[in-house]
Amino acid sequence: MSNLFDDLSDKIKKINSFDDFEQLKLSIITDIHKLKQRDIVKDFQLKKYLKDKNIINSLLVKTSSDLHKVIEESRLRADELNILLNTIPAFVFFKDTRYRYVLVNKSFTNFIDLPENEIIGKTLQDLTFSHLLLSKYSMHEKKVLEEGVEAYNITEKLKKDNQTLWLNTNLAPVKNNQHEIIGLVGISWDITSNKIYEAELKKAKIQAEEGTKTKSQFLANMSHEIRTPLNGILGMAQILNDTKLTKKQKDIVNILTTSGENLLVLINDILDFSKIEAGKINFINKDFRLDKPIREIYDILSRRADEKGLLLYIKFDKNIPVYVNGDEYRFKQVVLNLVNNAIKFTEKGHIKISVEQVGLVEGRHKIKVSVEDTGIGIPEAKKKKLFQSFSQLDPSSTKQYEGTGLGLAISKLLTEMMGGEIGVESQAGKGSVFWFTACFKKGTPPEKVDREKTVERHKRFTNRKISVLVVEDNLINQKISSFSLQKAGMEVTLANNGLEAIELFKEQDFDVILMDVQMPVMDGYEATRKIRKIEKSLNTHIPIIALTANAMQGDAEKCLAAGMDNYISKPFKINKLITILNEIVT
Amino acid sequence: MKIHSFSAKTYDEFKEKLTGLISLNDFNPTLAFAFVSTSFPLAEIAKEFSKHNIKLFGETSSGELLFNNTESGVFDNSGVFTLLDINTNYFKLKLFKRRNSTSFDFGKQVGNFIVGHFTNPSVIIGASGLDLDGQRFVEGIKEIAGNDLVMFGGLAGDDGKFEETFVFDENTVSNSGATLIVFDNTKIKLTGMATSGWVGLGMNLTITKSDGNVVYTIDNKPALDVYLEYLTINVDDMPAIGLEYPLLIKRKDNIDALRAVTGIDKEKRSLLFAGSVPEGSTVMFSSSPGFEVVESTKSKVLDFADNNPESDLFLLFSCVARHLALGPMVEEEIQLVIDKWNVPIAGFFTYGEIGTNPGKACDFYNQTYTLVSIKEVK
Repeated sequence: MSNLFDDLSDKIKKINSFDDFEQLKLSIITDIHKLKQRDIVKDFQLKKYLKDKNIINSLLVKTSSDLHKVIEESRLRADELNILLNTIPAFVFFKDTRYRYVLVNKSFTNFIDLPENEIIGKTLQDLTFSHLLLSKYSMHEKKVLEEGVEAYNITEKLKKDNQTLWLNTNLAPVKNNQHEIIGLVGISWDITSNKIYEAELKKAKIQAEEGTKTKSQFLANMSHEIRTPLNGILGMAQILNDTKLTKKQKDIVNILTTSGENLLVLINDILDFSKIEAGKINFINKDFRLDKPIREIYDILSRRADEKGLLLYIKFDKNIPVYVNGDEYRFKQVVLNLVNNAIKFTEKGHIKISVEQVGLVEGRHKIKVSVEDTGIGIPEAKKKKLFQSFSQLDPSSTKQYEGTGLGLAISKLLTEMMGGEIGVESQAGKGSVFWFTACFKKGTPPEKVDREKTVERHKRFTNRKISVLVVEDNLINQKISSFSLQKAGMEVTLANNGLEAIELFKEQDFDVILMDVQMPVMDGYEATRKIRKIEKSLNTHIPIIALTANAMQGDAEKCLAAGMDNYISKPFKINKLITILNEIVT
Repeated sequence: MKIHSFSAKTYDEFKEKLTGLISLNDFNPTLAFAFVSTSFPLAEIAKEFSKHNIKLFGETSSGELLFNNTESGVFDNSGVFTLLDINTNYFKLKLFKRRNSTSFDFGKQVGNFIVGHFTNPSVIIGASGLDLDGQRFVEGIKEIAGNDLVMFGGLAGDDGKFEETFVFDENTVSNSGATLIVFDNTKIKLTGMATSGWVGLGMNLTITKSDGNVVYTIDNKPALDVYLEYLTINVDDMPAIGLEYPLLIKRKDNIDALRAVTGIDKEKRSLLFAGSVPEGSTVMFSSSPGFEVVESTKSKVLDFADNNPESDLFLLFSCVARHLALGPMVEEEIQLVIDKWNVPIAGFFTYGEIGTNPGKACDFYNQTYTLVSIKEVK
């Protein structure tokens, strides 16, 4: 601009005559026009700048106050987040895509025992503290960063200050707005106490299992200890009953026998229940006629029903299979329990046992047995408790209706083991229908046996006087066995222990040996093994039946493993022994 | 294609110059563009063209511009007239009155006319009525004519008064309508560009209540008050200041749109914009960054010149805000055209522009310098 002025001023200075003016007129006018134009532009620019300045200034002021507010708010928010981050009782970290720490929280720095500025920018490998299996852990981080997937519950074991620590870590990828992975965030926490607790739990579990085993053993011993004298009581009562007695004496013996038998049932129930609970019961599945156990129960209980004036009857549905495959004894046990209860809790009317097939599941017959009575019934609220262990409806009823309260609980466990259910429909005062279901595989009828031969063998056995070696240390039991067997027409020789038994076996011929298991000097197992060894050279085989109070699962196997042929638990009924003898000797 | 153009300060000057041109022996104009101040008697002007059987594309303006070999300048309260001697088979001119239709439906109506003529149409368009939502209007046209349509034009002005704008042809004047010329693009080729240069300022704000091109609240405060408060201005400064400092709308398609205020409602404290401002959109104030915006326009014009070296005539639809913001310097970005091509450039300062950038769909703009070249294909 100054140049334009200078030019113009020079031109004006040059004007000395009118001619000069004429010559420079156009140039001067052009310059003046240019100056005017520039003036207009400058003037506008100035005004515009002023306007912009005012507008933009106020926008700036307003914006800066807005920004201040936003910054203040975000600072507060950041403070809160910081507090949150540093209060979390876990190690939180954020890493970039090159595995370098970008952010860590206080717990993290405390754990590593390094200030934050010595951690940021470093990788895990850079930090000397680490005793991790780096390769394994790094693999997880690599996967998170490369595939963008979360990794949960990475458990690592590490050593710090000579202590073993366990860390659990969750990792997640961090993405920007364009969904690109820009790093990962991780949270780890010390699970050492959990691990210790876990180990303690394991130990406790083993101890508990051992405890159960001990309990089982204790029960087995108990049963032995109780059954042995009980055997004595019952045996002697049986013998006493066979002598000449007055009516009063006979009544006393009857009460003695009944009480003893009740006690036996009680012991058996408790044993059964603990065996099932300990999972120590194995089902022995065989083909059997489905109606057989029901009819047997009818035979056993119809007299008791008669005595109470109750009508006991059975209804078999046409659709039931003749033969099934299952554990006949356990099936019978459940039915027996239900019918027993029905008789126990019914004062008048009837008890009906119905058997039907309610389904065919994967080729298995689903059999339903219902026991209907006209007894006292069960109130709705108490139905659920019914199948729990040690439960009789009314504690006070125990006096009227004796029992352990285990019957239904045992039945429930057994039906479950047979793939079925148990239940009751009842109205108080109107009677009940107890039912259960059980699933059985299809059974096949046994091959036809040569009836004549059996009869002949039976005759051969029963016609001759059988010589029995009874090995038993308990004097009372010796007496009971002798009496019973002699009464059944057998010849009895007694041995006090295994060693004596072996001597006698060597000297005499016996048809069968009844061997107690627990004896001083030499126990039954040992004696059996020795006898079998002797027999091996002679190529003979004498039937040995274990007489055992150990009714626990496993005892039978132990007896058979020792070389015995069968076993019978004390106190035994003479008829049962004879049946077994028949089976073995024939 | 023979072209003559002139400016006039008064109706009499217009009449005199027009008569002079008509009397030329070798010039038989068939089409004319008239960009005039609302102070001119529009019906009289129309009658003049009608009398000489010349099709007329007329719009009122907020400042006019003409650069040719005999005169050059940016005017106020004047008229700029361009007469073309062009084959009448090459174009169709039509004026529509809007009546009660929405901006979008009105656009569809216009679109139907466009697709009814020529297999390859291109369009020069103008529209009047301050309540027209330019964006919805263009969307309505594209709904029918498709996204490939080449279209240029501007919304009529009224000398910065923001009261009433007009479009007109040789027979009709309308304060709420649209006028358009559909060219056969195989005979008359239209190419052009639109550039703004405005930049966003300050914080992001949110449009909390709006309906089409009426904005009621911004950040839950009355829209008018937000303008007054943020820019520290008086209500009398509006809408002019709102035109110069429009809102920049951050669109989801990443093409930011500038939306200028063209009206205010003092009662409702609301603002009327030249185009839609969707509720929920993020906006900020904007301003020309300074006089360097002229340099930016010039470099874009030079780029355009590289690809379009020849032209018969240029029309320029430049936002009135550029006139306000650049003052006498606005001439610089116009002068360049005649320097470069040595063909006339006529145009006016608008209340909104419609333009088509190379390779893009046509769109509605504010604050832009929208240039269109008209070239007869030989």
